[in-house]
Amino acid sequence: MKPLILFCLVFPTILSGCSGSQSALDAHGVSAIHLKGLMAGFFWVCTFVWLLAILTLVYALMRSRLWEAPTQSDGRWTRIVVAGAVAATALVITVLTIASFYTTRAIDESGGDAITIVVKGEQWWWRIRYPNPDKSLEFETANEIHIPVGQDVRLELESADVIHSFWVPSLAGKQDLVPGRSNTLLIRAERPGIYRGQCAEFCGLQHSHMAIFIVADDAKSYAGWLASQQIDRTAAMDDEALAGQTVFLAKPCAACHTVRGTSASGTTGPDLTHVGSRRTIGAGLIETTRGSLAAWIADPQTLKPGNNMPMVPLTSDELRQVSRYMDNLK
Amino acid sequence: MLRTHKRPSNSLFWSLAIAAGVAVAAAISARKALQRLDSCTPVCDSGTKPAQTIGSASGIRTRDRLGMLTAFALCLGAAALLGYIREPLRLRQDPAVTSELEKIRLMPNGISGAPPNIDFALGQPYEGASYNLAQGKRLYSWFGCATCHGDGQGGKGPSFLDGWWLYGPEMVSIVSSIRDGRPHGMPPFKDRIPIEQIWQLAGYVQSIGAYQAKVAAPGRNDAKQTRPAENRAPASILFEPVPTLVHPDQGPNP
Repeated sequence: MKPLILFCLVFPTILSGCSGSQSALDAHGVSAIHLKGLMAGFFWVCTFVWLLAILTLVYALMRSRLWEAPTQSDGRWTRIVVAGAVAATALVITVLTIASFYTTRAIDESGGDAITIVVKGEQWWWRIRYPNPDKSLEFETANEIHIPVGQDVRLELESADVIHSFWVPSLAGKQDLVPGRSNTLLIRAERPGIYRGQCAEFCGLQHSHMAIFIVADDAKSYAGWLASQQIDRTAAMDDEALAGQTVFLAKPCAACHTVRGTSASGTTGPDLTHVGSRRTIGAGLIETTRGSLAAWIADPQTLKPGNNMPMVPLTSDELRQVSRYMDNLK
Repeated sequence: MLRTHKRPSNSLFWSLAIAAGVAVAAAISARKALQRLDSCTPVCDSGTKPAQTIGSASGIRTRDRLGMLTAFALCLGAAALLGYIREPLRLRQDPAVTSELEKIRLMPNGISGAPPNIDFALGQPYEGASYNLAQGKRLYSWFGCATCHGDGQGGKGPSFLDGWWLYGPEMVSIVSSIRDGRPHGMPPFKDRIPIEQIWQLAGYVQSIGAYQAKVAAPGRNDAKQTRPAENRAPASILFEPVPTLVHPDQGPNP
């Protein structure tokens, strides 16, 4: 009885993972939908086969106990049943293999021109680059990919240090990011929405805080977002933000981070040109607000222990100015 | 609040608790086995003749099992102890501690001097803790040290592997060289790297050309090795017989 109670207690907690913002059963991307269909097919076929096998077993047990059936083989009838079962098994496996093959092929099929986005896994964040033949329109961002709905997007997956894995369950299956290689993953969102993803290959201390968001917009909002990211800086900044910029450029911040349009051109940290427009900071760690930006700058090692952002000593005024500046970089 | 490094007293408690728990479990199971043996003996005696020999054989078996359990408990205790005395991972320093790291006192000629007291209070972690050395290795590539110093063999800048430290091999000299710069090309990094990271980098640079091998080592190279690893011993096998002469501004010549 105990295992049954335990099962009843544990099973619903497992099921609770099947909904929400990050679930392969909550499919909104074309490959996720294909995969979900395949898995549903496997599930129902296997359920049917299992039930059939159990019913046969029950019949066999009942038969010998209740009706005193003879124990020796039944000759011709047995042979027919066994041969039928073997043939059915071969048929089921063949059909499932073919279904699996066609699904895998459909996942990699691109219908027309695909947008290319380069995703580079770093410990512990995602560097996103939107390549453009016109170098002045090319830009980098972090931890947030914007894509247009209904259009194929080819992600080129690279890694700067160790093996990471790109996994946005609602849109597609996993794909590893291997140092020295460029893997590709084709995604297409069928419905607008914000899809959360997560590094799915243990990559060090802060592996669990390496989230990514894919924002699928209609074509018009996507174009608007693209244009806003391509420009170097936002127009009006108040005095406090300007003071923050001065501090940012004078302190070690600028040695690792880029803010386009200023002399800050470090490339080892995330590009901060439009940091205020991103939903989260620290790769999905906390929501972007002026307060959370200040908290992150003041003590990054408490919020995300072991990450590569050092604590830069700032006075309280400087912290206020820099957080204002970051918040202004929309 | 997240605790980023374990407190030694806490881990000592847990390692001892685990060892004690295993020892108690071993004792209880041994005792149960002996009890079973005792309660079995009269029954066995009432049986056939060879019962006595069977009883003593199972006694020997129990004693063997007891010995194995004790050995297992000892191994587990030793493992727990090793876990306790391992190098503590210190990911965050208090701002007050890092600002103390600025207080190096150089000799008037800029060579050698006294490290800040905080370095001793912490147990000189920037020379001896592998986490800091590994961070230093990352910073070495992040800040482009290789542009002038190569992978330690030098280039535009001096080599770390020729057996001659222009300003001495002490941490204070290296920290000062990185932080404040040196004549003839070494730029100051004080506005680009926070002081704790400068100490990490200095520890790594020191380990590249150390006279004695360190016990701690940074992570291995993913790229092709162009020279022996930083934790090889002794570093001096790579030293040149006569180090390159330097400009008089750059400290004494070999």
